[in-house]
This record gives sequence, C-alpha cells and structure tokens, in this order.
Amino acid sequence: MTSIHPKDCERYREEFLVALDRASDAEGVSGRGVVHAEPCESCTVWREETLLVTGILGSLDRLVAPPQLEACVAEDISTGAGALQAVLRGLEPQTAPAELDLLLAQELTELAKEGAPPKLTSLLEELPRQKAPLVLERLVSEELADSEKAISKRFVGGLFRHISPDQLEARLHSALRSEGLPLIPRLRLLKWGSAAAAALVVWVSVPAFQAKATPKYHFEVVEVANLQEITPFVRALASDLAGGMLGGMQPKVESKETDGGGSL
Amino acid sequence: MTLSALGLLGGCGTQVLGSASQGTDILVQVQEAPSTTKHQGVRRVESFYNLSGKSDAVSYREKITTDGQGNFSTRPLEVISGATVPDDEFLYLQKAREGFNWRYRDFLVRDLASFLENYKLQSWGKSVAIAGRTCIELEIARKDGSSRWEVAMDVETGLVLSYKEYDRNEHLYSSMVYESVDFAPDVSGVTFHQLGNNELSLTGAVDPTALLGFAPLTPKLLPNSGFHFLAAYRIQDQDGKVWAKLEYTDGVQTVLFLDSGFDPKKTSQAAAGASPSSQGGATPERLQMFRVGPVTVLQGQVLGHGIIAVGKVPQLDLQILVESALH
Repeated sequence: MTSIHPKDCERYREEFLVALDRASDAEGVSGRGVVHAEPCESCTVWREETLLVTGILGSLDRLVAPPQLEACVAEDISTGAGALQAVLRGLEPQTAPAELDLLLAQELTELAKEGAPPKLTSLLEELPRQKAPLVLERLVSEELADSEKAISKRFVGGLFRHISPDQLEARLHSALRSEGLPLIPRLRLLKWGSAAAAALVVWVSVPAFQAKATPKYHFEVVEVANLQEITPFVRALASDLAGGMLGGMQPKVESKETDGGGSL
Repeated sequence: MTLSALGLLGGCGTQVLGSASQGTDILVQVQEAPSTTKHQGVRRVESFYNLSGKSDAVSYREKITTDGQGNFSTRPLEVISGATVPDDEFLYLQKAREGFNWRYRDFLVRDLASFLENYKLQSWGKSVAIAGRTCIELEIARKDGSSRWEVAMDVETGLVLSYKEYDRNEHLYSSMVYESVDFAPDVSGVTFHQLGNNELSLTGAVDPTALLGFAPLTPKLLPNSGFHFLAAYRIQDQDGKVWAKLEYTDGVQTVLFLDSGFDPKKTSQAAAGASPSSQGGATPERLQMFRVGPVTVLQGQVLGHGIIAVGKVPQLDLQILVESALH
C-alpha cells in the first residue's frame, strides 16, 4: 500500500477539476485518478461530493445578470472606494497553478499551428492598457537606486522572527519592579537614561575632537615687544640664525682662538 | 667629481636634470666641498629681514679659509651697511659667531636624505663667472614652495661660491657671493676655529644622560614640513650652564631644541616669589616668542625645564615641538 502525501491529494483534485471542466459528462471523469482516489478516503469523499454538486449546478437554468450590476461593479472598482473595493483588498491573493502556464503555452502553440493569428493574442492586445500605480514607480526607483539595500531589506524581512522566551520577559518585569516603580515609568526612565548616556558620550568626545584642532599646552606664549627682555644667550642665537641682524651680548671670550660667543 | 657638473654646462634656458644619479652627485659635491676643499677667499654676506615690522638689512665682508681637512676660519673684514651696533663691535660679534655661522648660516646640504625628501633640484645648464671661476647655476626649491635658493657651484670643486635665498613671496632673505677665491692658499699661520663651548657630541653615545647630567626632553612631533633628527650635543653657555642641544633639519634649514634639564627651583611654584629679572623676564609656564625675519624663537621655563626652540618655521610648529617634548 502506497503512502499518501498531501501534495498527491492536491494534485489529484486539480487534475480532476480540470478534466471535469473540459468534459461534457461529469460521469466521464469519475474514473480518473482511481490509483490515488481509491486508497485515499478523503479524496474519495471529495470526488463524490464534487460530482454531485457539479451535476446539480449543471441542471440549473442560467440567469443573466442585470446590466445595472455590471455598471455598479465597474464604477465601484474604478473609483477605488466602496465596500466592494474593501472586500477585494481583503481577499487573500491566490496563486495560479503552474499547470496553467503549460496549458496556456499549449493553447497558443496550437493556435499558431492553425495558421491563423492566435486568437488569444489578439484578444490580449485588445485589452485596455492599465497604468501602473505611482507607488510602484517609486518602489522601482528606490530599488534601482540602491539595489543592495533593497535586497538586504527583503532578506531581513523574510527572516523568521523569533519570539523571546517567556523567561526573559518575566525577568525583565521582575527587574523593573524590584525598585518599586511602576513598569511604564521605569521604561521611560530607561529610555531617558539611555539618551542621557548617549549625550554624555557625545559631550565628552566633542572636546576631544576640538582638541585636535586646538591642543592644550602646558604653557602660554607671549610675544615680546622689546628684545631687551630676551636673555642675551637666546638673543645671540636668534641673531646668528638671522645672519647677525641683532646686536648681541658681549661674549665672554677667553682667547681669540676659542668660540666663546658662537656658543651653539 | 666634476664630470657630472661639466656635463650640464652649455645650452640655454631651463632644463631639468636628466637623471636622478646626476643630481645626487652634484648634491653630494655641494655637501662635502666646504670640508674637503682647501681654499681662501673674501665674500660678501647680506641679510634682508623684517624686524618688528620694519625692513632692515645688514651687509659685511669676511675672509674665509679652509684647509680641506674640516678646519675653518672666518674673519670679518668690514661692515658695508646696516649694522645695528658700532662697526668694530659688530665685527667682533661676528667673529664670536664663527662656529654658528659656519654650521647654520650659509646654504648647505646638511642631510642628503632629508634634502631629497623636501627639495627639488633643477639645473639651468647656464654657466656664470664668480670670482673668476666657472660656475654652474642651480635652482633649488622646497617642494612645498616655502623657499627657493639660487646657487652657483664651482664646476671644478663643487664649492658654492654664491647663493640667494628667497621666501615663497620671492622676497630675498639673504645672499652670499665670493668676490675673490684662491684654491691653493698658504694656510700656515691661520688660526682655525676651536670649539669654545665644551661641545660634546651625544650622537651614538652609550649613556647621553650621564654625559648631560640629566635626562633631556625630546620632541615627539617635529615640524610637519619634513624635518628629521640630525644630531645631539652637550654644550655650555657663557654662564657655564649645561644644555642638551637637539638639531633637526629638512636637508637645508635647521631647527634647534635646547633643554637645560629639570631644576626644581624653576617650577611654577618655586618661581612664584622670584623676581622677574632673575628669570630673564620670562614668567614660569610661559614662553616668550619673538621673530627675526623668518626666524621664530620660543624661550622660557616650563615644568622646571629651561627651553629654547628656534628655527625658520612657523610659530605653531615650534609650539607643537615644545609641547610634544613635555609628554
């Protein structure tokens, strides 16, 4: 006995409905998928019910919707307002089965082989062109402007969100309540405390940044207006470097051979 | 050693040196010639500076003699113009500054590696006659554009027979030119320069602290215009005080940093009651600054150390130099 997989049931039922839709006689498809249906009690029941409903619906007279209904629906959809639009937005989007693409491709191929212009293609061309909403254009522009960011954002958004363990929440509440303050004010205190800490870091670091441009010296510099305030030793040094511009001190020269005044 | 210079002669206009090795050869000649070339000559020295906002200049003649063995003698002959003291006093002072002038006043490639880092050499390929000698003109410019030198180098010996120093605004700072030169002089009877400040080189010394008697302050941040440490010395001033002298160079220019060591009596607390005159007019924890043309000087007492910083660099560079030594 083969094992039954949920995918097998889904595939069987889809094939059954397609065949049912094509066949003029519902009884003609009753034997399809007997390999799957027979051992699968669920699909057996479903098949019987489907055949019964299809037969009942097929025997009913067809009624034509009043013209006003079509106009009302068109108006409701085009204005974007109304309960119908709200209902449509609330519907869960359905994904077309992959087999639809195959069937469509086959249809187009067959039409092309007949030599006539594909009927479906011409019908599609006759459909009015719908303009993409402005928000789509904005999203596409953002995507193109920074595709890496967009990819990262989608990736992060698709990550599984873990739920924090209950013990963490309990521990947090316990810690907050231990100081006797209600929870909400304590959360506010945490929030403002974090902000204050961040501000302190910035305040402390700003002088450091400023210090790079204006270093703190161990001394202050005073420009001398009267060169006589300068020690003779230094005055002579500066004068030497300046090629003898300044009159210097009288050096203590021991001997004419020694370099008493050129002391550097 | 003259071939590379001779190869540059001829032609007109400005041309960049053809090869790096050719330029380096010339620079080596310029660097070594003063110590290795025996000669005697008379040269005119001129300085043009702004002193306290007033343009000033001084011009004098001196006689120079070298024996080609590293010994030298300079004897001021006469003041031409601009001396701020009586002529005889000026000449006497210039004689007293003989050693300093020899080391720091004239154009010299003081460190080849630093020079190549900070300066660029262009040869005009133009020959000029200086004191009857065939010379080749060189233009040497600092890469940052802060200074420029026009140098005439003797083709045969490599000796610089004239130079002109310009700042970035093309203001002429100083100049020197030989008016006569003899490369085969009789140097007998010449009294060559003797060190009179008990100078002792500390470069390579095993224990500089022991030689100084104190641990000297050492700058960590040099002027950010390409200066590098060159040499360290122990010297004594006229009062016998010992100083550590650190020399920094960019290849041509020199910055000096001097430290007299820590003296607890010279801290800000101890000096609070001292008379200003005993501090040379300097208040503790305060440096006096003055300028003589392009030369900036900082001097004073900081954290018990006597400090002097001097050089042809901006004031801020010297402040940073001194402050970095205190850390």
